[in-house]
Amino acid sequence: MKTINKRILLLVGVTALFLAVVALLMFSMFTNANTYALKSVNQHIYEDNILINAGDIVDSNGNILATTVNGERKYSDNQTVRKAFMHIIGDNKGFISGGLQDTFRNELSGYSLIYGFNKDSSNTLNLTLDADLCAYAYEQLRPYKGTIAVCNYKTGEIVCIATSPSYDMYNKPADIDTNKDFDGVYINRLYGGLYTPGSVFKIVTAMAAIENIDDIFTRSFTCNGSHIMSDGGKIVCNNTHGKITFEQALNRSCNVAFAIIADELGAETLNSAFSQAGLDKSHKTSDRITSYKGSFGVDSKSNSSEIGWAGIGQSTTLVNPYAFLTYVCAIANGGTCYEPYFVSSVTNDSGRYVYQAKTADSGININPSTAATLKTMMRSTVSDFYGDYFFGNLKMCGKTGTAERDNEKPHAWFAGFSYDENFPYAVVAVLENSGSGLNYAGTAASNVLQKLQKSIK
Amino acid sequence: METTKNTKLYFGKPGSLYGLMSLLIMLFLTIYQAIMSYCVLSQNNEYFAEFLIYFATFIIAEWIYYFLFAVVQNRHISLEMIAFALSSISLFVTASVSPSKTKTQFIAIFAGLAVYIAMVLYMRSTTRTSVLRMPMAIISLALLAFTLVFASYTNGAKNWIYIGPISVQPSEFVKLAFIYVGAATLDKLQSSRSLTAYVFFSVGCVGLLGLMSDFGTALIYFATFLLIAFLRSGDIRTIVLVCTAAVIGVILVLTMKSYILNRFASYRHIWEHMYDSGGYQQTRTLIYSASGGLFGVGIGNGHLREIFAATEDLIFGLVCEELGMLTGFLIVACLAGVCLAAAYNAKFARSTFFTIAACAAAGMIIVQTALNVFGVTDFLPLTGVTLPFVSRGGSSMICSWGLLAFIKAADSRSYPETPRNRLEGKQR
Repeated sequence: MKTINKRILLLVGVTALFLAVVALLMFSMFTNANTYALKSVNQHIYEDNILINAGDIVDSNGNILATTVNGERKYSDNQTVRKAFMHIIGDNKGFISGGLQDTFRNELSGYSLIYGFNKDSSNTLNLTLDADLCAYAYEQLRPYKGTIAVCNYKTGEIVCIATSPSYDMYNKPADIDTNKDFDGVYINRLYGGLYTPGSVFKIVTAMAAIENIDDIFTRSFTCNGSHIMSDGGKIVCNNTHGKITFEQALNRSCNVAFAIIADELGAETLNSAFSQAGLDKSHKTSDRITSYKGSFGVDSKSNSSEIGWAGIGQSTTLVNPYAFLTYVCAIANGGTCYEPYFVSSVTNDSGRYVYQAKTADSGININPSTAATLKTMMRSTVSDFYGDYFFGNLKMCGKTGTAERDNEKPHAWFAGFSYDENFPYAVVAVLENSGSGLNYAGTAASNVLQKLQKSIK
Repeated sequence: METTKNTKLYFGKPGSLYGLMSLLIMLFLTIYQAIMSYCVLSQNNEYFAEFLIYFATFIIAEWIYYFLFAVVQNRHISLEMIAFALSSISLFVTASVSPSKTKTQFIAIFAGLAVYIAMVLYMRSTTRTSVLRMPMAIISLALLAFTLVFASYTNGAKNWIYIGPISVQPSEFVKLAFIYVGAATLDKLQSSRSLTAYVFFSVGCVGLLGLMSDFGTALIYFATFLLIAFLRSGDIRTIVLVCTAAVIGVILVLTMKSYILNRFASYRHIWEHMYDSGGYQQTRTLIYSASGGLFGVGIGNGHLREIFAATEDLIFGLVCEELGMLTGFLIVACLAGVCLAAAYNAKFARSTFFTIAACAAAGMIIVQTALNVFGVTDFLPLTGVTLPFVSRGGSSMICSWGLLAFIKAADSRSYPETPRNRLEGKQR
């Protein structure tokens, strides 16, 4: 009998092994619970891969943009608001990548390892965006494709985003995949767009000039309507500006002056300015969106006319609107700024924070005196050239861009910000294939900012 | 162990710790079952009266058992309390998911309890333990052979026999005989001849199960055989030899019938097979277990119940989702606890028959639990075996109670009045 008692230890060993594997299983199930629970076949939150159960999404004024009613996902009653927020919220069928219903589905679903899916509680996702303003901005874009965004340059809060084309989630057009009007409809152009910037890029070239050419403000440039570069290439200007200073060259957007400046700065200096402006990188925002990175496209092998064209934002230069907005915010804010964001928090039923936006540094670092100089020059561009009347009673700093396209109407750009620090907003607007920068993008930006100004008062 | 001392342990002394503990556990269990009853009843108006009778009868039966065996006879009833707790979960889950099958499950639990009591009583005498060895072995093989010939394929395995409205799974009942025969032969003599006979019997059982394509059950039998063989011989070399032979055999079978392998092709790749049968059940088990969190979404609020075999093979996931992962893992811990109790009982058993039977029954429970729980969670290939006491199914429920009887019979304190026991107990 004693010998057999020792053999019983085998059973104890087997049980111990079993319990060890159970511990491993517990560890695996607990650590992966989040991933498993949020699979799109989970009928607690999805039905036929369509999100049915998630918390509310509300704008900065508490307007409900998305909610769940009786197991069905409902959006704003206002069709324009629905269209304006389609890319931000995302559809519920997964066509839109980077929509909040996808990227924040964990927080929205209210799932937790401890409580699982508790039907009685739901989280609310709070945005810094103003629904009315976004809808208004969307209307300003129509009928063109493009994007417009307004950001508080002191806090990084984005108050307005609109991107066109869009569609109504309740009534998806049947011809969406074939109609040319819907080209790129699934892309949020603010983050996923990449455009030739045209003359707004002169802000970047000007920044490089201020920092690298000591006597830039005492120089003068002569514009005869065009200029032959050292390699024989011809730079064409939008006008015949005659003899002008550096500041006047920015005010009037003189291509000749800026091509000469770009050539003098050279590819290497311009590339580092491009990088300093944060235009060469993907911004990974706290809203869990990754923006497209721009490209400058000239290097030490490029000839002077290639560098000239790139320096005035044509030819090989491509920038992303969100990255450019961040750059403009940094200029407005004295050289640095927070990474712009629009999800402020996620709260649960009892108002406790499930998620809170962490303001992160944008990584852009401009010499404060350079930023101040750029600010003055952008201010004079508006006051001396476009005219302050254009922006109602706002004191704006800004620069337009008219990005020429082959066989197409140009892309209209406007990038700028309010000089008044009590109204600390920066704006970027792009209207594809519309026309001149000021007439199209400038008007849209002006209208949106004036509406914002009224809504704050 | 001083059995005379043990008999006075439980209720003999007023206010003894164990007596108080078991009373508290019974009260706690009753409260839990009352709450569960309320939850299930509030969902099912159609079966309200019927279910009320089942649930009330169950709880009353528990207390009668407690009164008869713990209070009057002064016995240790921890094992039974675990079995009652797990059986009641199976009853509530069945009532909630498949109301029309609740009656069968209710009857099966009481049949299991009856089998349990009968087996424990039968094994009171140590002389009876080897009498039925030969008939049991012959009946077992005959039953399995009969199943192989007359059963039709149900879900890929040929293991069900239909007698009128009743369907039984003979391989579940043969499990009890398998242990009885294994323990009995060994008890007699550690002779090579009795071992050889048992090897042939085992090969017969495992082989027939393999032919039925019931690989999960075949594996459970094989593991139990290894455990018995080791307890009998204590010879690791023999075990290694048997395992090697088995592995070679399995490889030979698989090379000849490679389609069998396809059944396990999705193992560790279940997420790639989310939408086909290869990984459908496992992925849903993981997804919905996680959905329940630690405390569950509440009975009736789950979605795993809509998946095939939710109350049988996937019961672990269903419990995790609706009653919480804590409950799911607590059930697993309870079954492991039963095995450790078996090891303890086996040490002080009245004869080697009881030692081997208890260990073999415990081993069978642990292997089956492992195949079930690890199978649905993709830690092991999915073989489709039931979770003892908790899965819905009459044969499986009765077998679970039968296995528990072997463990209980090994506990010398179960038979305090037998003089033989006292004698043998003192000898050790």
